[in-house]
Amino acid sequence: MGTVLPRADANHPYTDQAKLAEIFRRSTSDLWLSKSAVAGFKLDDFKDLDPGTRDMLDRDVAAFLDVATKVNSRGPATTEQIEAALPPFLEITSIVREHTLADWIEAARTLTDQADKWAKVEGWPTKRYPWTLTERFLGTYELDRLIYSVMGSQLALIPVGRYTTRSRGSFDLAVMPAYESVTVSLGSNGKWLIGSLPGESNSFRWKQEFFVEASEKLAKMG
Amino acid sequence: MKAGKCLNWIFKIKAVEKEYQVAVIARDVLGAEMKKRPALLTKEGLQNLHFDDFSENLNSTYLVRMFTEFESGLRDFWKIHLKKKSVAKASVLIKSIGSHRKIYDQQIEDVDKVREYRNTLIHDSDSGSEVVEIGEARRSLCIYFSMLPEDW
Repeated sequence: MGTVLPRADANHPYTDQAKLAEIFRRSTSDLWLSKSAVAGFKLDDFKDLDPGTRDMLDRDVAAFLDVATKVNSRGPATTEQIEAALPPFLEITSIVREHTLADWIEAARTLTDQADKWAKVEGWPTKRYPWTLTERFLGTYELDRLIYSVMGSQLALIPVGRYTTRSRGSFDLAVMPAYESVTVSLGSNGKWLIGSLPGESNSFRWKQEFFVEASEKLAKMG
Repeated sequence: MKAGKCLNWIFKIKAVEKEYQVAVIARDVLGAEMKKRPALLTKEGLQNLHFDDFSENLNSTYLVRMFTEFESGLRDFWKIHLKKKSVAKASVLIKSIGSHRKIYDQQIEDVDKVREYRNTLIHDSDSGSEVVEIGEARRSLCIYFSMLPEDW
């Protein structure tokens, strides 16, 4: 599987630093230029980064906060403040984007590898195809879509995206082509969860036995 | 199924169902909020009856949108793959493409049932067509679409 790093894309200006800067400059609101934009930042959350990038991130957050704390809370930021805050802010978004994407790709790859392995244990034939996703903050990247066959039905584990409601990423586990599906989502604790099947209300931890059970139930709906 | 136009259209159809599911949650949240704050809508110049209409029409609103996605996919196949220049009615597209792709009669009938219900909704007619739930529509439309080539 090829990993595509975030790229500048004319259709997705949030991954293009120059376009992003223009958006912020033209914005009628300077909400981005506030302490809350980096609230909750902990350098420890970025342990995987190389020391140089970590230092850069730490410096950028400090430089950004230095400007943000001086903005008059009752009025708009000055042009000088915006120009001073933009470079560190853009660098922060770039570092966070790459970090988030790397984490998500790793989590998604682990999930797909596990499903592939568990399916093979059951004697279910599997195939993997590249699947391209585009998300506003992350840009365009590629993951694998897993296809496997259960009791004559075709099932698919399809990446949906990193930025999904109440999770840190999700997949569809679906019987094709009817597309009855269940959501497999990544919780904030880093654990995957299989959502409730159509007509059911229980969710399950991402474990081999539950993956097999969900797959067989979905297969019967195909 | 390999990635291609066929799968992309199936995803578009499914995406409408997901939007519908979000709308159902939004309706429930708003309904609960309105009980706590009865003036929530009225301060925007809206009445509770508008909320009732919104709730009642959710399935049909999204079914119409879902069928539109399906029909767009068929028209794309009709024009690009079959190289037809005519602007055919949806019923003709369904039957002609069904015949061309040797789609089972039952699958064509299932899709036609969705089309008829869609027509009832948009023409506000009382033709006696059967109500089709959004999940059932998604299923019928996706299965029909899967009979098209992977790409064109």
